[in-house]
Amino acid sequence: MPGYRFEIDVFKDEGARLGRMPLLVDWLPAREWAWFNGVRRGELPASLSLSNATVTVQPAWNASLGQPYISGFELRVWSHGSGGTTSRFTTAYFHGLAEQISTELVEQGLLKPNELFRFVISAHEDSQSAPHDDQGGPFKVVSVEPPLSMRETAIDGFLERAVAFTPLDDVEMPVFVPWPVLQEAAALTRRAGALETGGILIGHLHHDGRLPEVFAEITAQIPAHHAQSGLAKLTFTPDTWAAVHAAIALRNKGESYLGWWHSHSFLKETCKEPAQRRAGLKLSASFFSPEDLHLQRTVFSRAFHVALVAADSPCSGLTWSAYGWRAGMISLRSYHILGLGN
Amino acid sequence: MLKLHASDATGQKAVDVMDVPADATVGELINGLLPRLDLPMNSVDGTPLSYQARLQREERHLHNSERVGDALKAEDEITLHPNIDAGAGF
Repeated sequence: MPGYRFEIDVFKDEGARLGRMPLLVDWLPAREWAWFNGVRRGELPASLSLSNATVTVQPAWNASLGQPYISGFELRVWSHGSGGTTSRFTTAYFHGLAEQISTELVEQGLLKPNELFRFVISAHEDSQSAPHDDQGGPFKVVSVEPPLSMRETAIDGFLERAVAFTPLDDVEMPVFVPWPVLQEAAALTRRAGALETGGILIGHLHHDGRLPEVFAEITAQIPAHHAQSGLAKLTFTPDTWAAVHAAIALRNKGESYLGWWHSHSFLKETCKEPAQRRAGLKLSASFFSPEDLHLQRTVFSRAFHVALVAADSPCSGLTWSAYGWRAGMISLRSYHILGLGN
Repeated sequence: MLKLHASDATGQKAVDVMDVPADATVGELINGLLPRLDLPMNSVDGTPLSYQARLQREERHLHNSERVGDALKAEDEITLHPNIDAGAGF
């Protein structure tokens, strides 16, 4: 079955066409989402790793514009004898690429900075491309991705002990965070003052076969030792990752990497005086920056990986927000707190 | 030629690597592994993202200039650790 190559047509807001450019699409987040949704829905066995599955893409043609323009696409993940699953995506998946291209168009003088633009995505059959190409190279590589490690657990016991934060969404995998873990991270955040700090979230994935559903239980946060802290930057170094690995091995509880957390405390420098505080109340440090997105994609690209951001300011106090993968993109997500009030 | 086992920082993405030339550098090995592990090669600003390979057997990060044949043995396990920024982005 042929794959497709994707292209973008960019237009000024009033309609003037700026050109058509090829898209180098990062398919991994979409493949991950499709595969994980299949596991959650019971359409794929957890023992089937993504690397052992076949993934095919099918454009969803734009009903108004017709082929080759698309309104989205479908990914089908399947394996002989293991079933299959299909997930649908909209063209929002290409927004990040569209923004990158608009930056290039601004540099070329074809768009003004912050000028609105429009785009449409088209798909063209290409027998040489597929969503997951083996890119060749100087040596042979075979994927040995470990199967998903999950414990068979009824979610009821967790829900009974938890308080949900932000509106829950059936699309999201439930995530449970113990209150002591948040308290530890909050203490580290406050101790760091205005500098950023962070850590790695570890725990277990659980499978409730009755529903079916997969949910995450965060059991601990490992502080990011050997990280370099700045006012608006936190660098996770190779020594940071080595220390986390050693800590997990020392704990010896079969815990997996489930995500990471970090703080945005720069507003502590802003909210020192009453006038600044009044202005600061209109600002928020609860956001996921391009650097945060990039770190999530680089290290925490599994569909079940999450991120917590501690926004600390004398104006607003310390607040938590959670982010996770949704249809292959990072977005704000809900979470449950375990043991609140204990 | 060597056979190695490589993974990303979380261990949740892993590959067996066959026929690694002994005279290749660790840096060349890392660059060859990044696309196979679906790991980004560049930072947000487009500059190359720095990775180091941690050799599990010796519990140390290899220098990118080391030769594969000098630093590694058959069936060695390495983990690719990035030097990567998070932050408020300004």
